[in-house]
Amino acid sequence: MVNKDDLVISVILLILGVFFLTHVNSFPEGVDITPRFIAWTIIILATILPIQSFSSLKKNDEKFQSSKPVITKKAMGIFLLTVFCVVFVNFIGFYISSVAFMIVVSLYLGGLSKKTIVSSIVIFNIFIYLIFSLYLEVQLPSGIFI
Amino acid sequence: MLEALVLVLRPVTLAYTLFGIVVGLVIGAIPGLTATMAVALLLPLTFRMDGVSSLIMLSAIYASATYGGSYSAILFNTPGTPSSAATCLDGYEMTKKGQAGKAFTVSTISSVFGGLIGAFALLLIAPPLSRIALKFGPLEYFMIAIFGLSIIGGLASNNIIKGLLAGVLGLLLSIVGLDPMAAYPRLTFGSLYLESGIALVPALIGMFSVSQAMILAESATIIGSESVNREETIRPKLELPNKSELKIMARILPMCSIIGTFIGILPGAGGDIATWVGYNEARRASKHPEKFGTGIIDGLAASESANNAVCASAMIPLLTLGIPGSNVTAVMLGALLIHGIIPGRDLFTIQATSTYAIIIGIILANLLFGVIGLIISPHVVKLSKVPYQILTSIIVLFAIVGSYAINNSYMDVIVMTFFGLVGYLLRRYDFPVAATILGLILGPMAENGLRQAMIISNGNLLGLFIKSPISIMVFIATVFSIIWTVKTLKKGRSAFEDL
Repeated sequence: MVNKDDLVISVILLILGVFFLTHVNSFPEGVDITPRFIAWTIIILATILPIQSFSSLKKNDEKFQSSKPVITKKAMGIFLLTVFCVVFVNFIGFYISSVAFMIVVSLYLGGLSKKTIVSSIVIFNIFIYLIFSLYLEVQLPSGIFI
Repeated sequence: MLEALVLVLRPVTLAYTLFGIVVGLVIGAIPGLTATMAVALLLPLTFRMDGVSSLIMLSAIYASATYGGSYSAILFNTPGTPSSAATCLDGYEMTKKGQAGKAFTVSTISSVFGGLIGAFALLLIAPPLSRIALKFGPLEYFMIAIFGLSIIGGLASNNIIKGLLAGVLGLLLSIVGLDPMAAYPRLTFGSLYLESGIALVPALIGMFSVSQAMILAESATIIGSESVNREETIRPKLELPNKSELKIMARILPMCSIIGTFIGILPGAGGDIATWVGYNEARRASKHPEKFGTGIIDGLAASESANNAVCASAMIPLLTLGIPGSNVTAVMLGALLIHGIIPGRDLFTIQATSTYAIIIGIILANLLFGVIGLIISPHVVKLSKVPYQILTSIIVLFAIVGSYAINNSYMDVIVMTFFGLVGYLLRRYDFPVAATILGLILGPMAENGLRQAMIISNGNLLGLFIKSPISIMVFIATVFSIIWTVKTLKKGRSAFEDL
């Protein structure tokens, strides 16, 4: 049996490679050499990946089963919260977004006292203000609070 | 050289060096925070500094974070950075025997020794190499880029195809933007922002920081569950190695430091590889290999000297050819670009004072982190207890501020976020992120070199190749590198897997 993850990755990369190759066809002559080479390399390697995975599994089934990688809900949750934070930074500014982000992440991951959360927020924001706003004079996004 | 020394000894440069060392030690000591992430996140702090101070500070962070990673490896069996993974094997066993203090001093001596060997290699090898770089034409740069890309396969943890795919994905990302010769937009999808290509530093920050925060969140702890909880881990009593142990170190340190230096020079192969290769070679050369992993100083000295030797030697290809020798130096390439420092011969002629100041600064940082490390290590270790929930949010917020501060661009933040997800997926599915970074950096060098060489040679590349001794030498080196990468690096890793 082929490693399922590798098979999915291979299919995604094949689609990417074929899409890219189609896109490259519209490039003028000369501009297309490297992209075409890259597209074909992706297609070839993506084709080899499940075959190689299959032979490796046959050789050492247990080792590969045990090292099967996973994407966790927790990690994806953090990524989604990051996306929300990035979006909100543009509307309500960095400082308010950072406070909201730290509170939501702390609650999402759990296990922290209110005192720890509040003190972390205060220390972090003072640090960012002193270093980035005062010392580096970086105009952090202020959103609607201009 | 005297002018360079004066530059290094300026109070402001010394202050930044000390700051870099302390920050590096703290970040290195906290498991889950890597040297690459530290340098990527602190890069914006260098905006108001001069090039010399900023490069010395970043190098100090790199060296001391690599060394600081040994603290939690020794005390808690949890490597502070990936470069300290091999340190756990004997370091933690020494702690279990009640020798944490001795493990600390052995680790410090080894790290300083390795760091100094790497730094002196930088001082001695970089100038002549830059002289050769002066003779480089498009074909030579193309061949050098191919040489760098040839390392990619070896960066894969257990799958060469994945290593190559990660590298090719980097190449794919590198062609986003205007074509360098015809100014034709490629993969920009109508976006003006993408016409200047993928912003390197935000991409690096995302790949190394946001992905790290995601991994930290899912691990739900920063200290391994095996850690022993006793007085030894709270306040280790420092103890110098005895005469016979010093003799052992005198045999191991030069060998593993040279191994680390060599691996550092190879594009993309950083401390995490050097530590295992160093450990494995020390075990192979030992009269009692069976004792490795039982808490002997041999293994500890080997891994710590090899990983710190990489820190300075990885700057050799960076300063001479613009090719990063490790993940951290890939981020440093961003710092060079921000400060308008162009790698190459000029760094050792026109800008020689600044360049030698950077090298002297690195030597000084390597000496200082040992002393400071021993003094503050008991306090720094306590930081390993910082809640992972707080670290996770702080890393993400620093990544947002850092990527925004580079150009005051919100688009850079979006790029950083996107690459955070890319980095996480690559790491989770065992694709080496370093290979993607190498592809992203070396792609334009390879493409420009090839296309310019084709124009110069009227399409007769082989004719141009035969007339270029440097290209032939680099080609031979590439062939050897592929063979060496596949055989030696895999052997180092399989040795680890057998342990």
